[in-house]
Amino acid sequence: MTNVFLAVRLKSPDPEAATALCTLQRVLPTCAPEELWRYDFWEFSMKSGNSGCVEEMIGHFTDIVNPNKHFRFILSKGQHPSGESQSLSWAGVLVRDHRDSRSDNWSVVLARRGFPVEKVRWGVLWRFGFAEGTQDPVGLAMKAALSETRELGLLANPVSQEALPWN
Amino acid sequence: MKPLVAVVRFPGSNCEQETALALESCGIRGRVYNWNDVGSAAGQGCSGWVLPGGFSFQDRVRAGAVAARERIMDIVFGDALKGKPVLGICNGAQILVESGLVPGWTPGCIEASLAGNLAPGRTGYLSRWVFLRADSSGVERCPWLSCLGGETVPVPIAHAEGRFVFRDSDLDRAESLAVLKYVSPDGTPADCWPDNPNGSALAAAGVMNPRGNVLAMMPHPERALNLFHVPPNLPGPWGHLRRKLGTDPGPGPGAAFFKGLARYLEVQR
Repeated sequence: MTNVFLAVRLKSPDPEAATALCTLQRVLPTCAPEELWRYDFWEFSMKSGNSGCVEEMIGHFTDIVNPNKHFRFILSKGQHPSGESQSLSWAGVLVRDHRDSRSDNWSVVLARRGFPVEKVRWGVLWRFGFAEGTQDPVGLAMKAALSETRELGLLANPVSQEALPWN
Repeated sequence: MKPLVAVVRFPGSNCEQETALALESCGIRGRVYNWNDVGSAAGQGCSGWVLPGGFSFQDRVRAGAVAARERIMDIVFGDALKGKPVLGICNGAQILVESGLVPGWTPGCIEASLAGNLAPGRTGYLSRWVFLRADSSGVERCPWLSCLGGETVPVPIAHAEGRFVFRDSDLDRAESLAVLKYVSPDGTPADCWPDNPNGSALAAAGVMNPRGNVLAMMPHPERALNLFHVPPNLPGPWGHLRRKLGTDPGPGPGAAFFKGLARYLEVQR
């Protein structure tokens, strides 16, 4: 089995990322980044030797990528999407539900359409752009992401979601 | 003077007027405060709080997550710890869970989640009528449930993220707080879809805090305030009553939630 990762972001400014950034700057200023980008993140577990058909597969479904409004990046594990400012230190956090019906249903839909997909997992990749020279950007990003209390963290509820560094 | 209960309108709330009306219909002054009108809300000395349904901050990041970090929630949090009754309906329930008030074993710590619905072959938003029953512990300890008795009541739901999730290690103690549960129309416990419409742990439709003064519930009682809100084709006694009385303006099944609060506040005075 081969895993293919797809990150999708809006071409226009993302209001969800803007709200998350403003909230972090207000409630957790020590961990708030200069920039925060949000990507829909898809992990396709493909039957061996079929990773090349991802391009064709996503071309069929504008629910996954709508070329009129989305940029899309096919990534290898830990790879960053391109287009981020080079003057910032970037750290990524991948937030996924332990179980979600969107992933379950896309797994069924893609297999039913004849694509060689074993499993789909959907999540959100948050990319934190900290000022250059910031110490431990990954640690700061994880602290900002994981909501242990209402004062600490924002982006993942640890009871039903996992937050993993993506670097 | 009637007791005052504050209804908080966040950007994106859309049930605040109906909720205030439901409070008024039970002899309580229901007043709507904007989320950023912190001074007024604190200064009026309200006897309780309701966080109404809707889509606060457009459900960005996660339903209720941004609203839970607003300054007005500091006041709600403080009043809840003092024992004032607090009800969160739908999006309000998501805010209470994200605030750490429910289940509230350690107030302020996030110990539960209202995650995306899980239903076979379906995803996203779910809008329909469901059947609920409060258990005896909830009827005794929670003001909002005190008038329900053991009756099965139909109430509508409308949400995409309404599945109560607890850590495995917390499931046993969560059982005693999951006092409002989804049941089948004949009142038997719901063990799967469609009676449990979103895959909620313990078939929980509403969860209170250990003290019993805070309740987070996903169904909308304010949308079942009058009998004419009940669909005529609904099975069970409420559907029968609706078919018999037509558009009679009598109380519907959701009125009991607000009457329970009115009775509680009357005793407190």
